Amino acid sequence: MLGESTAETTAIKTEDELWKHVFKRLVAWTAKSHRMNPADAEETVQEAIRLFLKAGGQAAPADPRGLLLALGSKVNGIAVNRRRKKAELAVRLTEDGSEAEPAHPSSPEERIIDAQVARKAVSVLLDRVGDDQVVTDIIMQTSDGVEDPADQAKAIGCGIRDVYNGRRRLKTHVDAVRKLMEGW
Amino acid sequence: MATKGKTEEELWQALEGLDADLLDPGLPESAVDDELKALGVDPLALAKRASEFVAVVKEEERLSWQERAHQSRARLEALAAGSKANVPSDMGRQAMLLRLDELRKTDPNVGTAIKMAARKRKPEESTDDELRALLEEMEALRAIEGSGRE
Repeated sequence: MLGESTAETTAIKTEDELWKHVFKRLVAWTAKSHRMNPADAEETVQEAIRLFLKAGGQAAPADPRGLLLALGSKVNGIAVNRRRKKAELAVRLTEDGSEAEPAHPSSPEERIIDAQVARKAVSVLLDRVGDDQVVTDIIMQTSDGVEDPADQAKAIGCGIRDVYNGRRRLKTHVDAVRKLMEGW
Repeated sequence: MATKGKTEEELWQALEGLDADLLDPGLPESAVDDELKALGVDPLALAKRASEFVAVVKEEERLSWQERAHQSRARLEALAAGSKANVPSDMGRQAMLLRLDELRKTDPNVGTAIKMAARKRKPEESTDDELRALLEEMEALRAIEGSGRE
């Protein structure tokens, strides 16, 4: 099961392949986790790569995870700075008497969910998931503290690809429930 | 829902954090492409732009290194040229020997270079032209060494 993941990772042979692999993941992750439009996400990723290369960072095809983590961290820094600047600008505009920009939606980490809301969210999520057994099993495993995709695949008894695909389906449901939660 | 390992809040937070899978190199490329398509991004075109962007940044870095090297070289050449003023054309043999002696005593690095040169031929045995060339070189070395210490 884990072998599939390793095969995918070791398929990267050249630095060019590595950059393509990393860039696509970072743009998708930045857009989703920082709730940016794809163009802004791409620009942010470019800025992170520029900073990384200027600082003498090296891209090793054998270590895509290391590069993803290093650049992910830079993206977080850039995104936080942008949010801060935007917030400062909004305050200035308000002080000038003009209309302030709407606040940027907070990141998942910044939001505090109370127990009741979380219970309702999980319940609605399970209803939405319905009879998708892999996704239901992933929720149960996560609840039990088994969060690594390879470990989840082992526990559920399916291939790691099935788990990854299940986690993507699950995330779609989570996003839908999160939208519903805005009205709770 | 009763949870064994996590509270509902913790479970919900963990589920919201599933986007971190996108930073997992093990996540199949097809899943990443599907995410990008859902965002309205063409994965192939994005990969192409990635290659082009990295190539451009690397070239910029290479050129900026060359530019820095050119600037450094120009600065050293200017220092060396400026130091020639310390050896006027009417400087006499005795004055040149005295200046070499002074440099040997006061500047350890220049002193070593003078000693190395003297192993081939002692300054006193050199012609005036050879002495002038040696002194100009040592003044240039001193200027460059001095700028490095600044």
